[in-house]
Amino acid sequence: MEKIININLSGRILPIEESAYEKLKNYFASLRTYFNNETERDEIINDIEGRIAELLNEKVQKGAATINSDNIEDVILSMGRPEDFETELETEIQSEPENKKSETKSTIPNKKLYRNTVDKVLGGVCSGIANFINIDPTIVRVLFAIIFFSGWGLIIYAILWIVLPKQELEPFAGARIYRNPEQRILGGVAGGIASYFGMQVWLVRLIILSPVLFLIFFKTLESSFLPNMFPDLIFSSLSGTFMFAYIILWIVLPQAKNEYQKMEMRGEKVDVNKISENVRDKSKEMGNEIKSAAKSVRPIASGIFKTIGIIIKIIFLFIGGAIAFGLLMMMIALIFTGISTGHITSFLWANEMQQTLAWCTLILFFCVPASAFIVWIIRLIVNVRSRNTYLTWIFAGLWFLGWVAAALFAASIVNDIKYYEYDVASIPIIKPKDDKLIIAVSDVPARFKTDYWWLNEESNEWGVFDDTLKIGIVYFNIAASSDTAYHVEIKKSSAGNSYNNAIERAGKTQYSAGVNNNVLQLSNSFLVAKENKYRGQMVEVIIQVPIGKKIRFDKSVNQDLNPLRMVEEHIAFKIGDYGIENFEFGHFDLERNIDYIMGADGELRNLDGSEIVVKRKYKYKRDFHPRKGFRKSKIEFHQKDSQNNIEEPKENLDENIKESSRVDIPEIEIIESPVFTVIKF
Amino acid sequence: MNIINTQSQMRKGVLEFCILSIIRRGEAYPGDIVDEMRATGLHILEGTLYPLLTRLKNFEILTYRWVESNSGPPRKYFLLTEKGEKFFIELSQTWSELSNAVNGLTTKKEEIN
Repeated sequence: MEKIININLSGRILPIEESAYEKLKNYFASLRTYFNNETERDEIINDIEGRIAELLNEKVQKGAATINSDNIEDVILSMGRPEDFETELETEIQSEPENKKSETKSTIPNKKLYRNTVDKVLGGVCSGIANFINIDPTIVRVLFAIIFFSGWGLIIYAILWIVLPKQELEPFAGARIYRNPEQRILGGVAGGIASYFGMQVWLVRLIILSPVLFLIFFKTLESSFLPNMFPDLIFSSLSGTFMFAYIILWIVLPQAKNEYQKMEMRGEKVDVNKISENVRDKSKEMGNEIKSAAKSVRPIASGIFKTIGIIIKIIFLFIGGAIAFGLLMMMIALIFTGISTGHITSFLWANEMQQTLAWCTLILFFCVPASAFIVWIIRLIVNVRSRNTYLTWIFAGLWFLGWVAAALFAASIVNDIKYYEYDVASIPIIKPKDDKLIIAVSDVPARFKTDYWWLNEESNEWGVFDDTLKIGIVYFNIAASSDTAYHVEIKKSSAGNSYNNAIERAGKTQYSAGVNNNVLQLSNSFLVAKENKYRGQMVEVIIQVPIGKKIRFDKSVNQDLNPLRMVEEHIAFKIGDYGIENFEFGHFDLERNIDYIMGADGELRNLDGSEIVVKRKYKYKRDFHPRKGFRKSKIEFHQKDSQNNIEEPKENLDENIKESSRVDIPEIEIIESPVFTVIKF
Repeated sequence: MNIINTQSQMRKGVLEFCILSIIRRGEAYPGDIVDEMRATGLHILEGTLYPLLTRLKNFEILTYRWVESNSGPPRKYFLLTEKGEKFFIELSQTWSELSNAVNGLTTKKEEIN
């Protein structure tokens, strides 16, 4: 849809399309420049105008409703372009070698620094400075704006305003920096900078975004080796600065609207030849440019909203780019993880289909939308407008498949763990010596090859081997026996897709425990064979102590090698490095190498019959772990008095230690052996 | 050596003369002049013509008058002044001398020893 305007050409009213009008206007502008130094310039131009009016009128007479671009083109062809004119003008314009700093105009000798009264935004200070050092005043203004925000700018500017003498200066005729309206995503700032410096636009955009990208890149590596402060501080502040500078430039830089300005923007020498060249080259695109220039005429009132919209758009693109980059890193990380932990996952998937589904879910459900998002953002940044909607449909279709895969996968896994059953086996206990059962713990010897050193850390709590999974989570429970004998039960539980399946799986869990004299040897971990898959297997050792009989925890229970967890009803005990800690309700430490006796109420007691007192050997035991460092939460401990009430924490802990009753027991020597630890007295 | 430049120079030399000869035959407006010149094979751009005419008018070699037209804006019809007539005669003399000399030089068959 073309806008038609009426023009008066030498007294004739002619209807002309807007794009054609622009063309005509530019032609006249070029003529005016060409004949600029002719004394008879106006007369010549008028003659030409009359002649053009005549020619156009003929076209209208012949039946054209309006003058269009082609008509103008014909006319220009007939009239000729300025550089083709074969006339001896009063001052012939020579084509000098390309020079960004034009010297055709005479400038006032640049000896003094003035304040420019001609080209000024506020007081002409920046313009005067620019004239003095012969660069584009816009650049000086931008620099000043940056200084301004440091606080001193205002004062400096005011001082200069007062001090510098006024002077009318020649307008700047060199390369100016504009915003490039042809290559714009937001405001054409990057395009304008690129034109001025002769760089590629995408490079400029990349540089602007680089702090954000670096920030993300270093963030993802942060946990590994790079020091924390360095990248954060520098790159986040740089990102903010760049964004801020972009907004400033957007506001300050004028937009190169007509040909003349655009040539200045590119730093081309403005002479007649170039103008006509450009007029010619851009004749086709002019229509579009007119439309966008027309759109850029905004009423003053909406200026503020437009600025806010612009700022929001900038922020959006920055954040969008950052998110896209982050997603890309995440995708790479996910895939890498999926591959590297492939061995572990072989314990998880019951069959081939599950494995396939798992990969499908990962790729289709997660990676596809992430990729789509990344592509979209990159397109925005590089300013490629793709008409191809096939890509969108393909992405959507793949993502739908991803949903299907995810649903199937979830269903499959859920199906597999529908049942949770347990299998119980008991270990016969022969009446131990001294009516005391000693509990000791040993590690499962590493008979297995470990190729996956990166998965098996220092911890002995779990390990992944070729065909076995080792898990060091064993619970044990101490209860009163219903008769006068000790009973030990090993309760193995597991999930499965049916009742039998669950029980079967539970049974196949390998856990070794045995009795030697009066020592119950417990293994600190259980093994799951590869073909059984990991399905939440758990092992619980239930020790029943007859009332009045004793139990004791060997010191092997304490070592780093043997993490064991003790569950007593709702209170969970954990055997840590320094003792048996109750981590649910504070401390209920059971001592090692101390005899406890089973009370009538089913609770362990000290030998003297008193309730087990909460003790803390080390004040910061739970806060500081030699390997793991300080813990964040502080835990208060409570004391139970004989009525099971919880009292305030006691200040002096050393007293508590002394209060505990110890029984003299000769030291036990432990000798390692393949399965059991033989205890020597 | 740019041949276009030389060609252009050659044309520029004779342009004024040609224009004046057309106008001498009767008053003419620039459109007519362009058409006539094109008809004889000497193409000229209107944009070249107008400044030339204007300059000639400034030097009082030409003068013009306005003629209203119903099919367009008023036209300038140029005619030769007395001064222009003298100018033309001198030029035509120069031209015949020049053309003879050039023709003679370029058609000579003998070698220069």
